Amino acid sequence: MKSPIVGLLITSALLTTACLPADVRPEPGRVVTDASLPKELSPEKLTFTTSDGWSITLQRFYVGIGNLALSGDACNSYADARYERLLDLKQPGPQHLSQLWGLNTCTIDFSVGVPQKDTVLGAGISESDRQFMANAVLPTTEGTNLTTAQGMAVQLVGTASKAGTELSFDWGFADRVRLTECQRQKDGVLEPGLTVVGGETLNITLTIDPRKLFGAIVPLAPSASAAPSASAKPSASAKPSASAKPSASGLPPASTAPGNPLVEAPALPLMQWIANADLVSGNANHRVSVEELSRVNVPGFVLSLAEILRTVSYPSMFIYEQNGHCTAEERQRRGPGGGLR
Amino acid sequence: MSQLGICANPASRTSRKRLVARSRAFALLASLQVCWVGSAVAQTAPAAAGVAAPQPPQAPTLVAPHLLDHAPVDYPKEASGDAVVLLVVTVNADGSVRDASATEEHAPFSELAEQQVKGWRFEPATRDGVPVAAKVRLELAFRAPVLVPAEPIDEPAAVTTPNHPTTPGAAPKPEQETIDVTVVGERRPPMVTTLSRAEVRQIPGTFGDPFRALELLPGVTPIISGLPYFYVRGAPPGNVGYYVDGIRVPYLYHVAIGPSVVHPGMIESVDLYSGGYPAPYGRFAGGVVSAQTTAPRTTLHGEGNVRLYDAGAMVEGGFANGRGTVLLGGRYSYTAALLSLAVKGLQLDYRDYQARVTYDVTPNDRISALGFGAYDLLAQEKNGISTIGFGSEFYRGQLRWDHRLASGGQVRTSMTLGYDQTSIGGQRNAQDRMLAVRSELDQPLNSYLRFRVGIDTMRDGYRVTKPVYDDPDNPQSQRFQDTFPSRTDMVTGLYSDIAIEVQKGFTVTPGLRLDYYKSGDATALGVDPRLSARMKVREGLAIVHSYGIAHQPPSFILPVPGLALGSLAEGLQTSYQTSAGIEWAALEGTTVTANVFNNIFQNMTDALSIPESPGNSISQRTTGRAYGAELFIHRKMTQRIGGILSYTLSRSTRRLGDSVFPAAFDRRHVLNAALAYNLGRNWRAGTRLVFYTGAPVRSTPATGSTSSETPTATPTTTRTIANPDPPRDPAFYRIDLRLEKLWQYSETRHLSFVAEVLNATLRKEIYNGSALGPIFVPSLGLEGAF
Repeated sequence: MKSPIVGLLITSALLTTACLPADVRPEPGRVVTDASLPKELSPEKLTFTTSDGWSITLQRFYVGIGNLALSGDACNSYADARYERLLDLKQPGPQHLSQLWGLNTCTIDFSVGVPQKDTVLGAGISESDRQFMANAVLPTTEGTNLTTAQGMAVQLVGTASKAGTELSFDWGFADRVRLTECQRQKDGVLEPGLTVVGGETLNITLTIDPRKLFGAIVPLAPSASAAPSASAKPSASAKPSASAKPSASGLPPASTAPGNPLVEAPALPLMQWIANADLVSGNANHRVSVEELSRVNVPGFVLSLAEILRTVSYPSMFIYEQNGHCTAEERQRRGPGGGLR
Repeated sequence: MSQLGICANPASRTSRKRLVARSRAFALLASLQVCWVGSAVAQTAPAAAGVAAPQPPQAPTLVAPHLLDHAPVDYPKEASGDAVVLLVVTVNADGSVRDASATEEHAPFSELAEQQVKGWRFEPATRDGVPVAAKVRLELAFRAPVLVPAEPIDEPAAVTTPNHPTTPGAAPKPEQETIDVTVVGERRPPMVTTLSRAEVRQIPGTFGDPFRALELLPGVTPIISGLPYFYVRGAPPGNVGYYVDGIRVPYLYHVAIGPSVVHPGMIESVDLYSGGYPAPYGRFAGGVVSAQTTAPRTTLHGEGNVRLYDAGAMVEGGFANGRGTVLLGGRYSYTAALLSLAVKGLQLDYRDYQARVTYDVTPNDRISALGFGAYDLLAQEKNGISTIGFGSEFYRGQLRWDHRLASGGQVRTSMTLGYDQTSIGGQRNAQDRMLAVRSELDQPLNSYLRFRVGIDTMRDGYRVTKPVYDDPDNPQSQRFQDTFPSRTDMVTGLYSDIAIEVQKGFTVTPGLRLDYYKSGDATALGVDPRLSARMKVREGLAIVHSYGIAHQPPSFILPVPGLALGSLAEGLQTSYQTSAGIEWAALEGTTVTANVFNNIFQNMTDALSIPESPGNSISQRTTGRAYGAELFIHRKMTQRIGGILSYTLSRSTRRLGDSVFPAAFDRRHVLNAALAYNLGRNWRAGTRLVFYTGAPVRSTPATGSTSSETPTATPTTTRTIANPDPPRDPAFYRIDLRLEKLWQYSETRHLSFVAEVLNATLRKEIYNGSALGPIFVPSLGLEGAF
């Protein structure tokens, strides 16, 4: 009877052996992230002046932002935060976003997107706000065509005034934008990444700057004639020169290598073009619509003004730290067009 | 001196000759002639089983069953005169008699012979040394009693009755005669498709794994080529249960796409129940895959293989003068070393083991301990830190007692312990500690009725750990905990069915299964009636029907150890399964099965089919339907020319709200064609074509809906969540090849070289608009057995 007993013992020993290795990784560091307006802007008033002299006041500024992750070849990411928060930027900041865990030298990735069912609601945001952002249908542009998209990642409602002229706007952006390989900039030079040390905590702030929406960075400076006057009509025949042609994606040029000086291209002021879209070439009802923006071409761009706002200005609102740099990747659009309402 | 003879019926041999002459394989059967002559005491008499000359696997070596012990056969009390009864006796792989039926009624001799022979015991037949069920023809000659001197006490068939002070029982014929032996499979219930391991070895693209051959069967719709997960008659992979010797296992394949988790040498056959399955099977709403392990063997034997990516071995032998057996087996993959050469830092590791001990405590009682387990690990090393991407393991241990009743029935009682664990992302573990107890009685009541009843209860203790490093606000973490909560699930089931032979060739099997589920505070009752029927229309042609209702608790997309949805409060999944068809022995060695089926699903958790949408989740419920037709033409692959043609035409839909749309892998046409050919000189080649049409392209169109100009207003939304007629991916086909060279050294010892490739044409598959692969799996290996 020895053999069966031995067999049973072997069987029992095998059965009681759980083999998956335990987590023996070294202790990681923690990266706590939040989001904030630029220090120059007050959340309560949220008023600023564009470089072409328009005074902008935002009554509503909602942003769906999150999906933070640590990345990079030298980085060991332990835990990402693959979720979004819906923030009311008129609430006092900075507002908490998430916390990440990792080790070694890491860059940060994050995204802006339409709120989902499980999106965490920030201060001042209600569930009905989230549903509105998630379900709103936006008229938007798809090339030269007008179409619709569902959901808003960002909504701005406000007024623009200059010299007694006041316009209102109610815009929503539907495109999901992923910003990757975000790096700090110090003295015009990109740092290689965060150094995350085990057991320590780092704090990172993402800056959301609505002023960027009213200007556009072009790869090469457009000619002075590109600046419109109040009475200037956008010329349908205005074609960008080859030298002024933006990148094929319409997005700002790719990031420079870490350690190299950043080249800051000047921003082309857009507010006057926006105003003219309604006042000059539009229906002059003092409410700027996407349809009106889609009919305006800005010299220096192959895109319509609506497309510039959607693909160039909109992603540039999201800044790593105060002046860091990220690579913008236009992600899957929601619906047929992505959107600007 | 009474004697008992077990003899072949010459007439039956004549009729069989007509069949055996047509193939070499059956010619081999003709050589398997066994005869006993001697006294009935003769358990000790030489049971000269015929042994065929060494043959390659394609011509299996068959050894007939022979009698070990038996009770004496009485001469019927009211009978008179001599009589000869020819019986067809089905001998189980464990040597017990499953069935005995007289070829002609000759009351009261035939009834008595049937009844008494069922208590006999045989040394089972073997095929390639492996015990198998077999049918044997026995001729019992009854001689009218005459007064004879008292017989020794151990003399069988000597009965004293008032009228017949000493009467012999069934008397033997003095002359030596032979027995025909036909190795047969189990008498299967309708609508089950069975593949034996010997046959699966010959199917290209399966790598000798019986489980991998499942995708070849009708009603099975693959997800992606090479990925051994599939829909069965419209039911998703999470609704298909896997069993090994009746033990539930969480998955069948290493690292999802690898070899099976149980050494193929231990698997005798694999059954696929596509619907309306027998009452002992429950708790899965889509289908059941049930593997039977080989019967214990007392002779020392073993097999091993070395392949490009793993090596395995299995050995078994007896002890205690044949009363006990021990089996040990295992497999280890060294892909980690190979993969690390190709992909820096990637670690892939898998292994499995099997162990079994049996011991015959008495001739009617066997105790068995069976243990097996599997381990998979996928990890990535980066900057000197290894992070688990996905790891899983499961272990099973079962203690079983089989008791044969004097009435011819059998009782099996078992207790099973299990441990499952999955590690996700290096720090979240899901575990299940399982305890299951089961007892079943299988009792033939008479020649026409066979009754089965059983009870089983199972406890699953699920524990899902929270990540150590996490964002406490992360809704996904919370959702994970909500979806897979730590809890204890209990289920107790009671089942019974009875096979009624209404008339010769017409069997009806009604059954009922009741399961009471408890998960946390939620409870549910599943009432599963089953009904199957097989009616022989004429020789070789039968009509089969199968109907049933099956319930299942909420299930995850794929079977993953330790991960089970905890949403029983939302009800059980339910399927209503109906099918009908024919089974036709069309030509010699070739069978044709054609079925139509219609399954209705309610409350299903088929997350794969639910369109991606912010409001949907993996526990979202749907209703659905699947219907279609299946054709299965099968000529055993072990024959000189063997082949399988399997075709399924089906349509599978889901309904969510008002939307009806195709299920995720609704492939209209699925075709498998395999051919194996004996080239001679122990070379064997095979090829296989797999073809299926494209699955619907998943999309998330968002139409309808209006939004208010007032920012704070809540819009009313009507969203079309899925396209009822979406575009489909293009069709896919692939060709698999297999070549084997065998060296046969003796009856049982052989060595073979096998070259096999899955997707030899390097075809890429388009899934959801994107090209995958080509998924291409080559294999070179040596296999040996003794």
